[in-house]
Amino acid sequence: MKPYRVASRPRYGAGIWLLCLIATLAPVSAVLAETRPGAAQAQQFIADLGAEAVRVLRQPNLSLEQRETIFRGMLAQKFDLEFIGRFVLGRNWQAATPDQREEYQALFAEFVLRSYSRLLGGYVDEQLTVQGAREAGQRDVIVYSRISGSSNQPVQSLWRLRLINGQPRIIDVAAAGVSLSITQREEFAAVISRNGLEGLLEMLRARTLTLSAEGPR
Amino acid sequence: MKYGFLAAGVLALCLLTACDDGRDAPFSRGYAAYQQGDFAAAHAAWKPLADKGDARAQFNLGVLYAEGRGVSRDMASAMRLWRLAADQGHMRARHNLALALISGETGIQDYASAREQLKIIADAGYANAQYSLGKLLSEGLGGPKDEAMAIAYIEQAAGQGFPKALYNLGKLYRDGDGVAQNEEKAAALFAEAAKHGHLRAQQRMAFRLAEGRGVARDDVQALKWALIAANQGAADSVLLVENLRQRMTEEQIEGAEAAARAFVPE
Repeated sequence: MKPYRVASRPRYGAGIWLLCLIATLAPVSAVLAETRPGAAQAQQFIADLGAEAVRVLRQPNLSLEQRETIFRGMLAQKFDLEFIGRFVLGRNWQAATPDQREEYQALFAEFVLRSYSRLLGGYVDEQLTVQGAREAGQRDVIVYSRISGSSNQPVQSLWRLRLINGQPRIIDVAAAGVSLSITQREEFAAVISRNGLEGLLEMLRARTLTLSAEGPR
Repeated sequence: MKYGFLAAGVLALCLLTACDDGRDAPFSRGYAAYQQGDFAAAHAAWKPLADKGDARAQFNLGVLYAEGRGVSRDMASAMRLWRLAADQGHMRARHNLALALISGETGIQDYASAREQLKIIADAGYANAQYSLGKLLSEGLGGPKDEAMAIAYIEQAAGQGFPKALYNLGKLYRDGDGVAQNEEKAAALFAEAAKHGHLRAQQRMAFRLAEGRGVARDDVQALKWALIAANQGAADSVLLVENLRQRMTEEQIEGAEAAARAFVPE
């Protein structure tokens, strides 16, 4: 193999140099591409969730409670709930016992999935429209969506996605311009400062055990 | 799909005609709309009834406000409606009111009052209230800590098949916390909670069956529960699925996958 000589550069045309540049940068771009979900991939991810919401929540032969339980189970795979849960608990995570951590994560997942699932539409004539996406920070992509329906005001939501073990996962949701994770972090910190971590667990228990509407006798 | 819509039509018709007279028709219409996810229509049907003092309509309307369905979320309105229904002896409204006093979202947090309300409902046999009261007693919130009473109430709820109570009791037997430690009993309670759809119990059963802890080792059942939990996003179950697959035959794996697909919570 001949040694590489800078002086030889004029002998190659611009096309060759472009190929060399692409070959050099290709591995770098591949690495960069793996650090965050692609914008198109992220938009499709949210659009698919909206379609899944319609498919599950409008199943005619199951009760509303059964449909919502199935949808939340499906949705749990699309969020990094452990990451969100730890972020929301902040420094209090370190002080929690293993039992408290386990119970907190289970209650938190149930609690947030009830809120987040409603931002994907699926009820009656609701329709989710993905409106675009932009890169955020080093690793994330934010997808913009809107739910419209005849009976409610349109709801604008932002979904923050990150690659976790090579798969896109939702790590935060913002509604009306406010991050739900940050809002919950502040709310939870206030509860803990008043009633301790057990008070927070009790609050989450209460919010997840509230009975739903009853039917005719 | 065609048959599905037919079934929905029949269900809606049943909901509308199941009542003994026409008095219940607006309430049933509201419930049919609620079940279809048309919360604005449910609100429109229940509001006039609630205004006339119908406790069930007051309770359901309170639920719409608490969950922000068809209306903006408004806990103060939810609590007002539940209080009106509870004053007429509506147990579910009293239960939700007690929980709202625990969560303290409207700025009114009163564990002691919640504990009193829950005791009335728990003693009337409501599993949700028995479990909630058991937890308040075990943490000493709203009054003195009482481990024995806490376990008694959680046992009552578990006896009615309440999944969280079954799981909680299973943990108490696993750890020997207030009861004599008993791995077999813990496994039996986790198994029951798993059947009722409790995710953590399903995770626990997958590991217990894979290790033969408190229960005979059974890789097919272990893989079944691991698959069910993994499909709900349980990361440790995903790893267990991979490990189990490596030591199982194709036939065993297919059996477990079929059982996981066929699983419907009791």
